[in-house]
Amino acid sequence: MTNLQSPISNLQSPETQSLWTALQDVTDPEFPLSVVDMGLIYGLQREGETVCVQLTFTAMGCPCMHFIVDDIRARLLQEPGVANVQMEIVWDPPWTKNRLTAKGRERLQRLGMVV
Amino acid sequence: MITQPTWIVQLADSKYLLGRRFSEWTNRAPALEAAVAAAAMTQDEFGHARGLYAMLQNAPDAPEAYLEQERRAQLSGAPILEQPFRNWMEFIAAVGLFDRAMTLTFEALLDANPPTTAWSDPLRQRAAKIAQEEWFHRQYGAGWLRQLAAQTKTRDAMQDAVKRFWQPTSDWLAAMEQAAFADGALTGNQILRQRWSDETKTLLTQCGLTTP
Repeated sequence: MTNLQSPISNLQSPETQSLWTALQDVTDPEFPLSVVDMGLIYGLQREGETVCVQLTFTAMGCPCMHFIVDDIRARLLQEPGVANVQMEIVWDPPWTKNRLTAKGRERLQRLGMVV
Repeated sequence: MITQPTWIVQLADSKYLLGRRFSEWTNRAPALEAAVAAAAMTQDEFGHARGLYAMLQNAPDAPEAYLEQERRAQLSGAPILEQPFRNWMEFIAAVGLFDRAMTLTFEALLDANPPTTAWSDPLRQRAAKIAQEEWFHRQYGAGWLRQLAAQTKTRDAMQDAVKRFWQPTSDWLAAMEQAAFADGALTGNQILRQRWSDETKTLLTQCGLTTP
């Protein structure tokens, strides 16, 4: 995968829509938000039984990287017809709070965070 | 065969060693907030090192265990980072001088437009994230440097710490730049050290410290 797609355009793709919905079940271990609403998912593609995920982390020293990767893989493998999950870690463009979805931003604000 | 550029290994090892040195101050810093910052910066440096090691793992001739530094017989990081810092002023000198020199290297890698090599894309990806995260380190180092230079009881020790780090950092950066240029990762040579020197001299002058 070389071409990054925004979550919004991917959400409109019928073949990946269920995958984006599935990833709403995967929460960031440090915030009460899904990895989608945190803006960690940079791209999602499905090719037959294989799902390719491009994701980033808020920090390179994020201690939760392995948890997040494992949780994403486990959840996607529960989807019908998915047998393989390939992960690609993307660092550019770097994550900023601008990656939060409107829902994610609203929720963090309700919790008193300045975003 | 893709070989691992030695200068990238040295860069990664220096990141790792700096993280080790920072970690030694997570319970010795002069204030609780400083200890928390030292812990955060430790995590950053380890994260940067591991991101680079993970990239280097893709080389066929990569050492057995980049990701388990303790298993490697010898690290090739900057020699100035091999010994613990003797005081908090040396911690700050390391942030203000050496950490900044490393960041300038990553910023230059981002600005450069070299011919595509096996390392170009993965290295630029990491450089973008590292440059973002190092912004805080730069602000933090400069803030403490000004504070320690302004206080009578710490001023001389701060000056000594700057003196200790100046030449080793300058030499390390010059060698790093030359190697990256020779490898085609940077399109200019003899620029980075001058940029670092000019920027650091300006900061030291603002603090009332002398350049070694």
